[in-house]
Amino acid sequence: MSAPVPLTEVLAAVAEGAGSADEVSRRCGVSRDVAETALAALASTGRVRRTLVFAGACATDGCSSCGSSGGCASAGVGSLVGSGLTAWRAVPR
Amino acid sequence: MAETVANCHETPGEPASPGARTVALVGSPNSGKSTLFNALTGAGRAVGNYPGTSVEVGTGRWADPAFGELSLTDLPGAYSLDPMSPDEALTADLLHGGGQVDAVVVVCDAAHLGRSLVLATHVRAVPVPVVVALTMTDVAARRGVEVEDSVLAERLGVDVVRLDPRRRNVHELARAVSDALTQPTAHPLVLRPGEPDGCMPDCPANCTACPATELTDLAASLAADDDLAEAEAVFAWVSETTELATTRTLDDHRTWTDRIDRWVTAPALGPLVFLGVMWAVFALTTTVAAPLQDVLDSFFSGPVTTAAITVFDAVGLGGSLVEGFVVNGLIAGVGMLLTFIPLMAIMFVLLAFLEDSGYMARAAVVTDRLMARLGLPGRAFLPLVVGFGCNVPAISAVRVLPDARHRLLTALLVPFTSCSARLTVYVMVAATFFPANAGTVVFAMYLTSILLVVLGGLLLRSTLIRTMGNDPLVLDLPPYQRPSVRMLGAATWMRLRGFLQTASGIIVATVAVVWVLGIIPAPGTSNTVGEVPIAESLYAWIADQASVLFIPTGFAEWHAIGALIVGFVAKEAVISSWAQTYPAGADLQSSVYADFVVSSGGHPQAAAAAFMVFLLAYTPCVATLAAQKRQIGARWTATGVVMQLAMAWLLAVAVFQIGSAIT
Amino acid sequence: MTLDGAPTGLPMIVLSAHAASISVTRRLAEMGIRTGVVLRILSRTSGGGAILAIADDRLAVSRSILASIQVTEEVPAHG
Repeated sequence: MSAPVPLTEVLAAVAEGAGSADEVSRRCGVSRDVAETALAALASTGRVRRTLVFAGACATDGCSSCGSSGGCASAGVGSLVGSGLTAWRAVPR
Repeated sequence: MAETVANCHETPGEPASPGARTVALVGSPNSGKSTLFNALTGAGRAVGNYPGTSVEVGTGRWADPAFGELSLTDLPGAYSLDPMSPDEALTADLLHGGGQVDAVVVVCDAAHLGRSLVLATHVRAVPVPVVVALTMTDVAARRGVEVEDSVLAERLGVDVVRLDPRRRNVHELARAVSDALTQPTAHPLVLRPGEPDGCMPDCPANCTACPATELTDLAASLAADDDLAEAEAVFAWVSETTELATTRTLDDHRTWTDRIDRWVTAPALGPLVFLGVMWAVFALTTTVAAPLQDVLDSFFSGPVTTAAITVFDAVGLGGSLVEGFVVNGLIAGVGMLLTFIPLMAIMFVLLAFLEDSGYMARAAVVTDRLMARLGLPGRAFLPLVVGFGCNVPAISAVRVLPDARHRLLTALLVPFTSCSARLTVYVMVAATFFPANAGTVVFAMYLTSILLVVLGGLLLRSTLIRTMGNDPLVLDLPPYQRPSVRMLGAATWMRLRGFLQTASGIIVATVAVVWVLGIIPAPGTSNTVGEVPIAESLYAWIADQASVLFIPTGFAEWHAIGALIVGFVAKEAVISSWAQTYPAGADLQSSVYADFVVSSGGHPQAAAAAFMVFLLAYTPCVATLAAQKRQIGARWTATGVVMQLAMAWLLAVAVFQIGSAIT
Repeated sequence: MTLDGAPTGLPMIVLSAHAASISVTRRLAEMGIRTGVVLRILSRTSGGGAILAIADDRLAVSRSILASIQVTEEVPAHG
């Protein structure tokens, strides 16, 4: 019994920046469903995690660093940036 | 953004009797778990923290002839039982901590079977009775995917109940749960390499009933990396199961999306559709919100104000400074903010609808061409669209552009996108000066905003930021989907709450400052502090001095200029501070109208238009400046401020001079 | 031929995809446009761009991208 793609390849793709199932599916040449399942399997053992990844200081400092704490939410950034403010990230060992 | 806002505090139903057995409901977010929970427990859902944790769980009573009654606990959506996430740690604890949960119903989404099965395998690794509820079979069918529940049941070793979205065959699920509770528990599913563990407590040493599956040598080579080996094992098993249990029927299931896209991204029609959609958003927003706003406005200026005055009179503070601060300042200011809720809510809902449906990606395609022609990078569409909500995160969003010069250019152009705070002022001014065409006027402001972005871009590219690289478009187009009402509600509430949180703080602060400046007498007057008619206060004096610069704009009068000065700090406070400068009880709109008639020499509409243009173009707020400084440095930020003020002033003058000539 | 001159609707096999800059080339590969991949042009967008269909995905690309993708018509296999 073998898997459609080695998880090490999926993990490498995420480490290189693939943050969504779509990106993983394209990079690894597999269908979106397979990519989704692979990410779920990796997440279930803690190798990847969904994290907040916003292109601002708030990514590191948190909302208190923003000049306008509600501005982010009021702009609804989350739903604009593709599948939300979250992306898959590899958990460092 | 999934489960955190799903705290619908509906009428709590009766909880199950204390001795009732407990069934846990687990599943990934958006798998239909909540809908199932509601269907099983009726409308009654008590939401609260699981004792000893900060995790929100829902509990309810599930009654069915098959078992009498059960206590159903809806555990937070999970992809796995990863102990790092508090939600999932709780789920893991409850399942592993024997006896706390009598059975588990795992909700599996047929349209995302692989992902659901990963969770299912983790649940099945625990010696607890399990039943699988298969949901979204209709969604899967539309995608051409057919799931064989019997195959799933055989592989998982437990009952699988296919839930019919229409027939609501929950009784079948109840019977399966009842069977699971009464019959001997199925052996856990063990996929880990090495010795089978997690076997039943009373199994003999060489128990062969546990279905420890065979694994490849992969396990041996990864022996040092247990997590990855485990993930590989789970993935392999789930992949094979999905393969065995799924049959694909349709091949081309995106025809609807493709058909729509043919028109929506067509060379000539695309931009028209885009403009039409945007116009519809603004027209709908202003027309539907207006009557609601009026109701709220009269509520605050009427009963609330009267009540406050009564209270102050009763405690002997009638007519005092404190009363003035609270009634004219706080109540007026915060009340004004609250009247904008209908406006904001409707606009946020419409924008969320556009995003969630998938249209925004098409809009990016349509505008890309336009942006390229205007010398702007195509990917700048995203920060600019964010800017229409709020400029501050838009500046940060500039980081999605890979090229540094593109980032600089876009960061300098973001302030010209008209944020939602500016919208509140447009609506007030448009309703006052152009009552018959308020919606269209507001729309015109947004068009002007786009024009300014383009003009600003051309200006910058021909002077300061000459060289620009190319940014070819490669954009993924997701299929169109009907936005879920729950998602829309959650997104809108999140934005609304954010707006209110930011704005209320700012308003209270500026109300306080304006109030203080309003009770200090202007230099050269003889009033004592606290007994100053607002027109003779320091605030008015400052605004008056500044208004000299604005004579050619037609709105050179201190109330309006003062509002603009406050607006430099934050646009959310413009209207409230504007209202503060008029006597209590005066109608803001008619007061402003009267003042503009005077300042414009009889051309109030031209002056109003000039005012709105100035408001649009000048510096958004100090928070934006702070964000810009962080993104592009102080020097470029200062350049930006000069550019904004200069463009704002020139345009306002032009609009007024031309407008007053033709009206 | 390059994609910008290719007919709409017919399946094409990608022979090569090299854009002016390395980063764009890499991005194309990430998005699924690689040698050997089968794609179709679904429709044209303004300015000479197009919407491509790669399996179930849809990609909107600009004209310069189309010009940097070499393709040949896919001949359906027989037997």
